[in-house]
Amino acid sequence: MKYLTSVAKNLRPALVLFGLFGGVMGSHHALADFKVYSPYVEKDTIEIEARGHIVTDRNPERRSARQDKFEIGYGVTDWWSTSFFTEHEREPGETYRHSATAWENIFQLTERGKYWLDAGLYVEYASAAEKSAADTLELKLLLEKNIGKFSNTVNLIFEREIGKNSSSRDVETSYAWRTRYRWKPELEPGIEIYGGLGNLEGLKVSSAYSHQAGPVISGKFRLDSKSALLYQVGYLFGLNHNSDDGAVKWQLEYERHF
Amino acid sequence: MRKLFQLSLLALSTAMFANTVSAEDKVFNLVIKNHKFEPAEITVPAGVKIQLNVKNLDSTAEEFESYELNQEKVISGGQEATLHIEPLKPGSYPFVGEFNEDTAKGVLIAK
Repeated sequence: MKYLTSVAKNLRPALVLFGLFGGVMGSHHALADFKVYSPYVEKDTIEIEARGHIVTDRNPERRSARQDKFEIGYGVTDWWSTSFFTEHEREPGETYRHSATAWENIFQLTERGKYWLDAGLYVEYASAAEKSAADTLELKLLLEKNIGKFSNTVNLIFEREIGKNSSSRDVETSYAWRTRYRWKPELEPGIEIYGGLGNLEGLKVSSAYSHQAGPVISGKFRLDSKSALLYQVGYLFGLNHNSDDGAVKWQLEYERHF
Repeated sequence: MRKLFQLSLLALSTAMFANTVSAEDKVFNLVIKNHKFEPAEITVPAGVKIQLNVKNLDSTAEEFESYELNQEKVISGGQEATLHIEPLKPGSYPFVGEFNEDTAKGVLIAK
């Protein structure tokens, strides 16, 4: 428990700051964020990442939706990484625009492999680009369990609008799941599942929310002893009538150790 | 909000329970010196969880990396890191110091 105690002690200022924002989160995101976060943090590592998804749908209005994120982050300690990203999106029937700038933090709560389940905490504050839109606060509980060559990651997501433009105090919940087969560093096939769970008070898996699932492949190519290029591509199928027919997702990341 | 606390408590209590189990992990020590692992070959029992303490005696950072062991950890110069390795099937599991891979090589043998 020494590591957990140390992390909790160091996290205190961040938690106080988090409390000032009003507790648990919200999201301005009109479009889903198709990324599953691992609880692990790499110290002294800078990461530059671009990722996004494009909706494919028989309905031409839905088909035009897309979202892109451009991010730069740094592993400050063994247990804390921080990053900034800009988000750009095109909602159905609208033009492509800058939608938000965000600050995200990942706190690794447990030493990798020490307990039956590895855990981390994700905290994001997103400032909406539009003056009339609400800022958001997002909290994710990051859980990972490795079984043989299978790596399983679950994110439980809590979002809330904050600030003067906030129109709701509801905490919206959602989930993200990834299972990947660690075949070789350059090519790891897997599946990802995303979906909404609704308001925190009425937590349930319901067809009233969109759910998507599909195959993804990811991998890592080392460029030299201290840098690497990581990629991910996948296709997510809509699982119910509230979901788009599908979405193509992609991610490219450059990481360098210092 | 209450459910969030319940979920957090569940995760933490799971971790605490598992901690009592990990107290019985077998411990092995490894040193990084002059960008080499000492010992370069280490034998561990198969089928049990082990703890690997890696002490970096060099002044520069090193990254313990093993895809086979599913481990990746940056260890600053003069610092020590603890790695927790899940029960292994009998076999050889190579590892490297990624920043000095030409010299920092080793293998963990599970028997």
